[in-house]
Amino acid sequence: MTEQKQQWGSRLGVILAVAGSAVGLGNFLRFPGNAAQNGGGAFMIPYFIAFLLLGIPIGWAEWTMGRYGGRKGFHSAPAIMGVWGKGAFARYMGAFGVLIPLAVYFYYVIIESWCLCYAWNYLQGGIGVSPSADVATQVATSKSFFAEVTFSESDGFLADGQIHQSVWFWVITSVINIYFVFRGLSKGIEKFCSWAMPAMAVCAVIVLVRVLTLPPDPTNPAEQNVLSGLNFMWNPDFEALKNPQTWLAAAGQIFFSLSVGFGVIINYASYMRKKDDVVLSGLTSSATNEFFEVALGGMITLTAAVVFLGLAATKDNTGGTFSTGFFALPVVFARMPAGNIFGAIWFFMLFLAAITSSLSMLQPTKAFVEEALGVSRTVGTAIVAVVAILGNLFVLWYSKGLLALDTIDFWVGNVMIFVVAGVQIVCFAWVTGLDKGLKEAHQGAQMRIPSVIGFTMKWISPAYLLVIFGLFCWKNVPGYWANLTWDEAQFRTAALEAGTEKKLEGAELQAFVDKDVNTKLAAQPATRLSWGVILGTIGLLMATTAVGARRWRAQGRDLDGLYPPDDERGAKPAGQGALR
Amino acid sequence: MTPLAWAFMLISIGAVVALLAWCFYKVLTAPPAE
Repeated sequence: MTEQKQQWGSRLGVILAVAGSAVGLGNFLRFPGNAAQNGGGAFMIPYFIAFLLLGIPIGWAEWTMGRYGGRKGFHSAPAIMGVWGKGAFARYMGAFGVLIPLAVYFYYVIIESWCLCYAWNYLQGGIGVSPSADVATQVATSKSFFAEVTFSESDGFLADGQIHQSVWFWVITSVINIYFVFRGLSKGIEKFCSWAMPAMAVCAVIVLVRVLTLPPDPTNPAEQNVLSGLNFMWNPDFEALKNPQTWLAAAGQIFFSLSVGFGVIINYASYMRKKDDVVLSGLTSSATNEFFEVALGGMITLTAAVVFLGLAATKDNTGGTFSTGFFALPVVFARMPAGNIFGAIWFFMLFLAAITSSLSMLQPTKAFVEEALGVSRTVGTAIVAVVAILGNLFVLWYSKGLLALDTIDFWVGNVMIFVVAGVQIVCFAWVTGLDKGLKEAHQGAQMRIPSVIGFTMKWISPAYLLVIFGLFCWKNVPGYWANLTWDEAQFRTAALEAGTEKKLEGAELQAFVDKDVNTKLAAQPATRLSWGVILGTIGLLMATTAVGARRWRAQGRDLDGLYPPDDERGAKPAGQGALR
Repeated sequence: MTPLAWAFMLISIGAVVALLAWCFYKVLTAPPAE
């Protein structure tokens, strides 16, 4: 293979690419709802604690592991984690670092295409929400448009024989993603992010200025004004700090927002040079993500919602990513002067936020395929494109209730991220050792990692992660597991208990139970098939890891991290041969 | 808007803006890597 070794074009380029990967829909839609539901301003206390104890330490570990892997000629999570974890177990766990971005791409690019579809429709005159209707009617209209775009009312997106407009937007979005990933790092992803990130910031600031200068609603000026909206988001409720749910929500927000444990940073950092700074770069990309999340996401959505919908309707229609973004905000834009223009800007900004993330999801898989199978960039991109499109088609087909999307998101996009992050920090601070890890991190660094963060990496981050993971599983896994494995009798017993708790009796209770059981039984095939897709992808990645390991070993490469990189031993870089 | 809400909002946004500004200042003024 004679292809040129890939590298980032500039220091700012890699920072913007990693920040672009981290800044996504969650920054603008999930964060404000999460904060408002969990103590408002008080939420920021556990949020910043999690930033310092989880996000920054694990992020720095991942950046360092990636660059070190690159020095040994590796760019994929399985190979790099094998080096830091010194053996096969870590290497196969590293396969989950490829699974996460790939499987999340299966559904994320579809959400991304919805954003583009919404932006286009706003440019064309709106999505049909009448400015003069009452809030309930407007929310119903925006839900109906959402169902039309996402096919969430029935399975089979082509079953009615029509190609809906949202399918075309998925095709466009997929082509853009595959094209830029094929172009490579500096000519593709870096170039795209270097204009997309500033463009996203400009769009967000335009919408922010518009929101902060909104006049009070004349029908209820005392409640529906900008300060009331900001108060809804930021007024602290210190009682919430006594609730473990608040701490879990804050840690989860930081964790998922910064993309640590996602398998992307480790791949991106592997294309850095030995003397490129990982400490300042890691901190800067995290700071960029926080700026978008706190300073922009925390100011726009809920403030606008309160001004136009009032407090009660805002509480009812925000909280989740989809409800805030696709149910509440279209109502806001319908009521806002020049709302179609601001709606188009807003959804285009969400599209940019999403595409800078989705680009980063394909790159780790592409690198893994090229590295493990020894194929060219063109073949690697083609393989990844085929797998990604098949995954997309599965999620599009099983669209009813967004079940496939939700199942993959929960098990891969949530549970497995905890696992990979945990393995990474243990490999960094325990298996290879904290001293060696910090020494590697400080190569070429403009700033030193404070010793307290070193202590945190070894003791506090793994423990904190374990507690948060335990709480997360305790709260969420039983429900998802039941939906996957229970039979009719078990669903019926649970529904009876739930109905009795709601004080339902007689025919009303029977109707409630029947409806609940039928809904869950109808959902089970899609849930099980989604698990089949997850397991199939895991099997594929494990087999590819095994093939890659055999190949790397045959080439005499140090895949168990037993020796220093070639560039420390005076040999030519790339780790090809001559090590044993 | 309550004084505490103002305080939490300004401190939170001030902290992330200050961190971002400091980081970008360091990145943009750092000498190129060897």
